[in-house]
Amino acid sequence: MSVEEVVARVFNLDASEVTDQSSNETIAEWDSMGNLSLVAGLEEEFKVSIAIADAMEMTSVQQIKRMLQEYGVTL
Amino acid sequence: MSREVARVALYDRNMEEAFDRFCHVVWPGSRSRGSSLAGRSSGGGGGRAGSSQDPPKFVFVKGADIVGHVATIPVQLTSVAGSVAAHWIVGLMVHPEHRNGLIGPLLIKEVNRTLDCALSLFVEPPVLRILTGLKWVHKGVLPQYLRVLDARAVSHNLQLSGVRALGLHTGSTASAAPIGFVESSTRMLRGWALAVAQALWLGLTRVSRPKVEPVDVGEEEGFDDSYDKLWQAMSGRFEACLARDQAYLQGRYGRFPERYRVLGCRRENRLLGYCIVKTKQFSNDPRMGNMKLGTIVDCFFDPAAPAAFQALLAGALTLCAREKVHAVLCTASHAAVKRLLRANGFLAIPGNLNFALHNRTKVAIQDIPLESWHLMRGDSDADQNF
Repeated sequence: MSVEEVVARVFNLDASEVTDQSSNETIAEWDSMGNLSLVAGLEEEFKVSIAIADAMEMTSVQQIKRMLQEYGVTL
Repeated sequence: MSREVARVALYDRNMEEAFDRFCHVVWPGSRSRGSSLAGRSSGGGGGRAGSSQDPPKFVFVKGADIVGHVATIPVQLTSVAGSVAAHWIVGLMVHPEHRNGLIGPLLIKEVNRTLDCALSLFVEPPVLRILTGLKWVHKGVLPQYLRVLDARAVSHNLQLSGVRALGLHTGSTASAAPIGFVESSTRMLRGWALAVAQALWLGLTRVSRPKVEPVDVGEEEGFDDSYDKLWQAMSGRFEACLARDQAYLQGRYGRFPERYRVLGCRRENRLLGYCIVKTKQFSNDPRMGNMKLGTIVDCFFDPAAPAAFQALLAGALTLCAREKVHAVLCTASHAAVKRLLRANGFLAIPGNLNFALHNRTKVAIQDIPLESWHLMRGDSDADQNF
């Protein structure tokens, strides 16, 4: 599953609606609790354990991808 | 990979400087907010859960800074289901730069992990989303009541949201005169309407008022042994109620005599009930204007014998009228309190104070309906702004 698909699943969107520019400012459901669900979803899908400090910086799809690459995830 | 340390931690004295910086940002102009929370947390006296240790206060640490905070107040809860050591969570706050992020949920996750039973009275919708998202039980919104003492002043100080919502207020110079006329006329009419509504409601509810009995109602100084006796005699009368013994009352209200007025109802010196009243003169407040508001923040009496509370309400209204209060607010969940407020001409107004709880003890308090809980603003810190 791609990052876009995880974001779409967590926020109940169509995957085609999610782009690199999608962020907590463009997706209404991406609030505090949405953030928590998203991090859990990403950890489960990509089998990583994301540090809190890193999770705090994941505020857009682009940033998520960059962070996951730093964790050694091949996208 | 990881930029800097970010974690939820238990607050300790070494964090004082960082906490001061945090308070300065999130509660600007309220130097005492952080310390008052700490004081309430650690100085509760009786009626509190657990030991003499400071109750847990959780902070979110990022590098050398504190960017999130939630404090707890230990209380003892008695209910038909049993007695439980519980904690209020208060002062949930996140640094503005990190709002809408992970900090709030992570703080509450830590509360859930650490405390077996936690309670919250809160206003903000995002808090509701975080708490319910983390499996807290939302019991509902506490009903709220207002008794208007000076309809003209209340009307004058309420915001003209209705007029603005109609788009009449364009802000242009040309429309200033008609708008001013509309506003003053609306205020006058609204003042009249409010006065008539209050008088009508007062008349209609007269029949449901309990008969006045010969009791003495007066201001009391501090809390003597009779408050313990009252608590022991009445604690089982409410289906769910936080312990209100002498030590708790002294710690919660007695330490601040300049803030809280205690009205006691006695017959032959035996305490039958009490209520706690505070008054506040607002000044250019965005919502309250220059209103002088009285608030009944707490009360306790035998719900099966409401004459004491009837007398206390009359006493509280007299005290507020003497202080030239414009309106008296009371937020209360219990059916007996609500009934008596309505019977005394208090008008039901929309409430905004939510009650939610997290409970993993064997005492099934989550099943008790909201109107069986005796909850008022004073129970937590929900009277801070009044």
